[in-house]
Amino acid sequence: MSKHLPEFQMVALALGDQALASDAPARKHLGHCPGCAQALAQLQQAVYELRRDVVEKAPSPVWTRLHSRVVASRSDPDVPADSWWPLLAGQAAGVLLLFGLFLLLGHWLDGALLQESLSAPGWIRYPVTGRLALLLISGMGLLSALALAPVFWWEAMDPFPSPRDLNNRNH
Amino acid sequence: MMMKLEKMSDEGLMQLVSAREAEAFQALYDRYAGRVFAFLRRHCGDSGLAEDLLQETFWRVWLSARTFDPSRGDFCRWIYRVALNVSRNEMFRRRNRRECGLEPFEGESRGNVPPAGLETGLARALEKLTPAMREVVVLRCMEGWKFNEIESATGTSTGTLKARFHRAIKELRRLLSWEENR
Repeated sequence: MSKHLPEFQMVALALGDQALASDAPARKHLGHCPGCAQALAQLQQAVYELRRDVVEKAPSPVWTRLHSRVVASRSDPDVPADSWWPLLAGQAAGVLLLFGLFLLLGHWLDGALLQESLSAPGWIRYPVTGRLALLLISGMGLLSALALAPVFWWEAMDPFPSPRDLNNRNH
Repeated sequence: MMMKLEKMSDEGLMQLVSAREAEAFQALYDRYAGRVFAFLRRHCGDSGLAEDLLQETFWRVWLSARTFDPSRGDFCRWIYRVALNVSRNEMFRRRNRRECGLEPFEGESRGNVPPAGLETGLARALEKLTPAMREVVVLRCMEGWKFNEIESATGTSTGTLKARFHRAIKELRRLLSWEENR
């Protein structure tokens, strides 16, 4: 094996890849090629340096700041992560209330008094089914907007964005 | 109480953290803060920023303790994943701000000391790598992750990671002038 070892093999050897470390031709080449042997030694040294002292002491102000946030969050019931249930319940109640208001409005518009009024605006003189359809469409639009609100909220709160999203952003 | 917590498993502590036990949270912090800080410092290449990211990482652990599922992997990998996301998000945010002219370009604002425990030359060489290259070197070499683990954490395919790692090592060698001896 007279050719120098490829870079990927050097890297794998330096990282201690067992399959490649026991590769006989590579070992033989390293025994005969001082250049590759030296390069491997330097790579192994680099990996050693990179792996050395992985544990460091975290700066103490970090815990002080973190602890104060934790204490504040414990005393404030709105902060913890489970606050999405009240939010969802509030959303649902709001949607129901608005839908009820739309129905009431539709019922009120259906009254004979307005239908008989010649001076009433054009849209009020539409047939009842048309008005109901108009209200239904408006209601559905509002409903969709309200239904999407928790999704946006969840996106904003999500501590683990999708790796693919991050990749698209970073690269 | 603290002595008892120190002997508990990570998963046991996380159960207590999800029940909002601050002492269990502190025990987890004491256990992992040093390692996560070292990781963040090497990942972002800035000691001051790493402090902020460490705080943010543990804050998210506190907030999201209930989303931790031990059946999907151990706590150590989980917290590194949180730290990785926090760091990547911050780098993305900073890059956007730089592009908008709201923040000085890399190097202008830093003037920071290289990460402790690394030889200065190597630390500077690491800083000169692109964030993506530095990330794969840090995770593979320093944290000992397998490529498939990095793939699941970052969403980048193993093939791309290996190629990136190869380029990164080549670049490191060039920066440290190792090639001349070959």
